[in-house]
Amino acid sequence: MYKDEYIAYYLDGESSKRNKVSLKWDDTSFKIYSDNFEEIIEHREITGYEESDKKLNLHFGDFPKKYLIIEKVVGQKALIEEIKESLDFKDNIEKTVIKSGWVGIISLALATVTLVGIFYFFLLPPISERLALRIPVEREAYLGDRIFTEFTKSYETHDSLTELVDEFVSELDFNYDKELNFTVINSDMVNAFAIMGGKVVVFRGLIDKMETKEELAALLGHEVAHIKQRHSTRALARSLAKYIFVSLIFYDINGISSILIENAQQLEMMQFSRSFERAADEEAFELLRRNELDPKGAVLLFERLSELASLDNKYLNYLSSHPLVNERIERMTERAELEKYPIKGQVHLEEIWKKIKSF
Amino acid sequence: MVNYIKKLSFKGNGKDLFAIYILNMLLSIITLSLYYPWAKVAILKYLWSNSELEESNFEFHGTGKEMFIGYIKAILFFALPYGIFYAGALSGNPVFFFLGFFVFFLAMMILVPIAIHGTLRYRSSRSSWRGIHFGYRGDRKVLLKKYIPGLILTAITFGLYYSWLYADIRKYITSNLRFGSLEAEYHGKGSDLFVIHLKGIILSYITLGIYYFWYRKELAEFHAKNTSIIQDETEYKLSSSFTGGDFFGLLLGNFFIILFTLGFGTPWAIVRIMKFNFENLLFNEEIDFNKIQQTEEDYRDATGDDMLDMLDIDFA
Repeated sequence: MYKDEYIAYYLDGESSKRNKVSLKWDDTSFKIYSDNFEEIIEHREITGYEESDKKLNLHFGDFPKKYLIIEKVVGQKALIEEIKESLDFKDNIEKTVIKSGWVGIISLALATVTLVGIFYFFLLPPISERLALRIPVEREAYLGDRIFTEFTKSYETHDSLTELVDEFVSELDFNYDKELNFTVINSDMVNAFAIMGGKVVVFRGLIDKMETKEELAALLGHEVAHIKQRHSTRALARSLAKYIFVSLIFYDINGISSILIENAQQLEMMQFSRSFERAADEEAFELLRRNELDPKGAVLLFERLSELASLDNKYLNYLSSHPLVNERIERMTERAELEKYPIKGQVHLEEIWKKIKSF
Repeated sequence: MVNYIKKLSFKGNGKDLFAIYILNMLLSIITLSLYYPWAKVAILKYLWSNSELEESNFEFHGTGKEMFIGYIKAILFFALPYGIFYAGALSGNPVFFFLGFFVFFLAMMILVPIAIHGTLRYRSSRSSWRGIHFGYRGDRKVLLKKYIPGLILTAITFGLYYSWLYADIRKYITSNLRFGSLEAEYHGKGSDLFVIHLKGIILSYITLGIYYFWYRKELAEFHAKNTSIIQDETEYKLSSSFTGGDFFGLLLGNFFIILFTLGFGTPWAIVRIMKFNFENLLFNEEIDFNKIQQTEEDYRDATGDDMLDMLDIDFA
């Protein structure tokens, strides 16, 4: 049986006119009517609802939907509560969160930020690196060749020094079974770097600053370590993964927050490259040990470079790309003292070194 | 004497929108971003349902599932040209590089109007007010025929033709929009728009950016007075009421809100923009929003919606 009569507004899906109607309802249906109109709406036809401070809006039908709007005026508030209870409305997840108020929202925000942090700093790097390491070295070498070709377009190679360095290298055991390729660039710049896939580029300016063969060996060992451990690919995979992650998470909140994230990423990349540098230093030290060369070689080069840096840093690109020299000098000195091993003269290597220096 | 009055208002607030953003972010991470389409729907539903015209709210009928399908399609559409572009770039052969670039450029030229068309179709059909659905009746081919030569002309003239292209596209789109039995027209001329842009850019430079806010005011006024709503074959113009100072206040306020909250205040900034836009768009009081008739039919293709997001273009 229908209960009391109330006032509601009915939208019929045909026109935008709000039709003022009388409303009665019971456990199974609503009855709406006016002078020349009557309609029965079964409860199961109701497909959704919206509620605001002022009204309850019941949706029913498919396309176009029809609406029954009951205003929260005196005498109708209890009715609305009854209807809601009877129809057993469930809040969707957004409404639930909104209704939880500031405490709920802030807690959710904190949980989200924590999760983002865990993902970003702890899960993404190892996962992306592991995936990157599945890329075959040959592909890396292919890309490396392209980078190298691009690079040598703007620089002149020093062929005779390159030959001598090749000779020098053939005397050393890098403990690496893939192809390595060394090139000397005829420039005063004090710089050296490794290109993914197996290429090492050394600038003549850096060789000029060296005084012992151990320094060159240590430098090459360091750069080869970057290649062996595939640092470029790993760094690339990391930043790519993080870039994708950030753009997926912050697709809508753009602007400032993405800039912040980017800066955080840069800071983090610096730390990352530090750990790579440390690993490469370790390998350089191992190279000297394996070839029975004086471990002080690694230290000497850095000491000389940092001295030069204080005088004139015009050409010292090497230091700017290899930060925290003092820390590294300390660590290498420490290792050299802790792990003493027999040192051989390496006469042949010394001869080649002298030829290199005589240029 | 024509009277212009406020009809639209935005009832949303930053706190609720923030809650939705946070929830979206959380669910996106947990689902490895698969939640994205549902996240977008949640935002649109919130914004629509808090937008009111004559005290009745709008409704967004799109679903996450529709958007998800569209999202997958958009990825497929865009993956191919991007793939060709990267393959060309990595080949090391300059011929392949330029060929790849050319194909990519060509594909983008075609995909942008397709995305605009798809978005308009999808969003308008999924939007309603008092049960009356919006609609877009434009033709994709016609839009392509307007857009592509216009873009080429814009490129040849180093951007000078842009105003004419914009006016042409806006005119076409506006005239094909439906709000039930209400129709719309845009009468803005490329030449007038060109003068506004030219003056705006030059004066903004001269005044070190100060004029920019009045430039935007002038632009909004131009678009409003050149847009009319047609009811029963009578045209009713729109009007824009904000001043350069108002706009300056909006942007400055939002800048500080976002800056000092490290970006977390973005939802509040969005709410401010919504309120600003709604409160400053005035309607001829003679339009009778109570006698709009239903005219549109159902439509399903979510593709366009996500394409626009991927290209990140704010065309309208």
